[in-house]
Amino acid sequence: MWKRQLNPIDVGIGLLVIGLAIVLFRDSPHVYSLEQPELNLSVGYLPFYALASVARMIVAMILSLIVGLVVGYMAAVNRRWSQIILPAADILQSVPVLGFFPAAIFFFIRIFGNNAVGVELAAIFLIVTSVLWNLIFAVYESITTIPQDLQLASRQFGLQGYIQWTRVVLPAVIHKLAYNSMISWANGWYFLIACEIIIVGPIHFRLPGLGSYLAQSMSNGDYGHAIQGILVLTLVMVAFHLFVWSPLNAYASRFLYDTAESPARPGHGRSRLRFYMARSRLLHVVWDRGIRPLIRSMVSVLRFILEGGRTKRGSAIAWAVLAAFVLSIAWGVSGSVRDLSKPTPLMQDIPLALMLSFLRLLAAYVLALVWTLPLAMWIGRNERIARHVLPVVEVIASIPATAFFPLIVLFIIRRGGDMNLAAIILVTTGMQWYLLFNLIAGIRAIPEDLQQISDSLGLKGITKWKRLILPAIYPSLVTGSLTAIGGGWNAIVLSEYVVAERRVYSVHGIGALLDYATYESGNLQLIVMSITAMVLFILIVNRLVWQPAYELAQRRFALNY
Amino acid sequence: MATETPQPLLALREISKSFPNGIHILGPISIIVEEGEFVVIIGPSGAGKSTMLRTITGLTDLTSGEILYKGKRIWGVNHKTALVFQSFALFPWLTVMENVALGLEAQGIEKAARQKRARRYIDMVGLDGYERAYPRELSGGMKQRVGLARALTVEPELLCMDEPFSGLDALTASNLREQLLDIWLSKQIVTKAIVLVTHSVEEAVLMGDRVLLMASKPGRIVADRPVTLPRPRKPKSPQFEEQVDQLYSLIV
Repeated sequence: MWKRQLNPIDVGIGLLVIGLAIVLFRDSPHVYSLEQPELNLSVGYLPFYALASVARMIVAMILSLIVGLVVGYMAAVNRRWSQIILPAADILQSVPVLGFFPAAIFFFIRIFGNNAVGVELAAIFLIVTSVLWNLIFAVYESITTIPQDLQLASRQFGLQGYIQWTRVVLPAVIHKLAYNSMISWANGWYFLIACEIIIVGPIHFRLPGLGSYLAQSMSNGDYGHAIQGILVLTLVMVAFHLFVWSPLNAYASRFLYDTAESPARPGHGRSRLRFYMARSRLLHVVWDRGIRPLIRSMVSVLRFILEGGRTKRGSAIAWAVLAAFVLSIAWGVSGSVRDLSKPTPLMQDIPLALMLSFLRLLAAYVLALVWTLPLAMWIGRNERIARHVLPVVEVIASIPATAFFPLIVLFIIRRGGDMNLAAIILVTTGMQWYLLFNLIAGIRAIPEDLQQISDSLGLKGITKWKRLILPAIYPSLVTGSLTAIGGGWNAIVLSEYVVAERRVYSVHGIGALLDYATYESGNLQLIVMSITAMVLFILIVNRLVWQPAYELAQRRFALNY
Repeated sequence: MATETPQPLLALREISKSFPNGIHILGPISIIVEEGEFVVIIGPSGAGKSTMLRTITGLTDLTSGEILYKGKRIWGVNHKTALVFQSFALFPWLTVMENVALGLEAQGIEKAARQKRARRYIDMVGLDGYERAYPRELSGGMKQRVGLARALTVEPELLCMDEPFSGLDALTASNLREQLLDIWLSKQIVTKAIVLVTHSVEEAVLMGDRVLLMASKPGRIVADRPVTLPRPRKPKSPQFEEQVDQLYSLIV
């Protein structure tokens, strides 16, 4: 058996284990003491910074797509994996990006050293943590909702491996995956500013990029450069929306299941895109040399994970990987064992901070709902308005509001507002779009026949809201609220603590506490405790409020019978 | 003799409909429906039968022409009519009772009164005992009974039915047809006329006093035949077969 050629997966995993072992036993505690110089803010460098950020985002996106497909598929087809993956993804997506800072520094910068490679990988890892989870859920949901008949047919024809992936799995996931990728992309940019300046206590890393450029110019009060940065950022987002996301989503809508209620409608983007795709030699090469082998290797990785565990060699490797993983985490934490033994100042502040942040979040949620619901009604009820207004709203939504945070804070405070109000408004920016787009989708999905019978029966005003609109949009309101609150928890870290004109503006709250712990004190214990408290709180609220609401949506308010 | 001729219940005058992109889909169509008539509209898929029914109920706008109800021009939804859908169009989050009483709720009738009236029609279609069930707990035939009861509860003068039996299995459909005929012929309801859309010739001959045959591109009426068979009609009788064959010959 050992005479057979080693397959690349084995080699890859072997290298990973060896690499981890080297890192584990290499004694290099002083690698991360470098303070990088400030960025050069001159306009000539701006294109380079933009390119660097875009490249980082693209690498993070591609990695997340691959991992999302593999992990989402595993969760969808294997019940045991799903019991691990889904709760883990649920927990990890509620960990704010700052919570991954210690991991990024301990892991990547220790392995690769504090050179460009290590710091870049750390930044990409941080972007992945704000992009990935949404994609895993998209893949999982699309695969588990493949219509029964289709699943039966593909089983009956014995579709497996590469063919199963290209004929069933990818077509089934592409629509939701394309849409969620667009959301993830926007989300990644939202947290990019945080990812490009990695600070844990005395450890400072500043990557050249649009995010750090904006942060530095705003913090210096250098608004000329800040506005130039915002312009370039807007340009990048609009370009990606026009040339990547909008055609991709138009293309992906070809793969929707046709139902009697919503016959597939011909669109414009689709045929144009197909024309360009068919003529592109590059795309053919990319497909043949890149995507096809990629899918094949994903399939063999999956086969190895899902079936290899049953063989001796497979389970030995799996245990080795797991052991290495656990050891590396233990090693990362061990650096702060001395800290863990003494009580941390500010620890007793955590419960109050959590409550204050939660109240801020609720206020932001109400604020978001107040403006999105009427707008969603206006856009969703009229197909013609939706066609023209929706693309514009999508572009606006993709521009990361975090770039404006210092400006918003200074504006509010100079008008006599306080940081509390400012924090609420900033958190709203991390919630509003989830609500808006879910509500629009919900309103557009109200079946035509229910609309007609309501008109025919003369439903109007409050009765119409009570009997038709609210129940019909209830499932999307729940989904939208759930994601909005999740986004809000992530955003609160950036909203309660803002650096503007060389001054820190902050309010008491769990986000600010975590910011303080990470950026200023570098106290790992405080970081771990505030994140744990926050994640526990989020999970408890999810179980007590959103889970029942979601189940009610499925049971009573689903639009099928 | 009276000098004034009584106005027909419903009159379509040269109605036609085009999409905004200029594609002409319906008309011009002119028909009259008198009180006491059971009119069946039949035609191939895509002939515009459902569109025509929706223009009659006022759920869709016309491009030209006019609709007169008892001699008066109708603008917007005509609340003297009620529509029964092929897809049932029940609100999944409302119980049978709430679905059936919805039209009365919209009229602002108080709860006790609307439940009393809804219960009468729930009983009439044979759904007593299911008032608190949700649509997804019901079979297809029972769902359509809810759809029918909901339409009847608003006590429409003109009942419009859009392929109400197409979504049901043959046995259930046949049962429900008999029941509808029974309710209609025994005059248990105040409804003065029924317009039913179908693609089944047998159904048309079984139920209708008059059959309108539609053709497509654009949707228009190509034949208007009375059904002369006495009721109750027997679907296997030679006379019935003859009428069916006559209609088929018009279609082919």
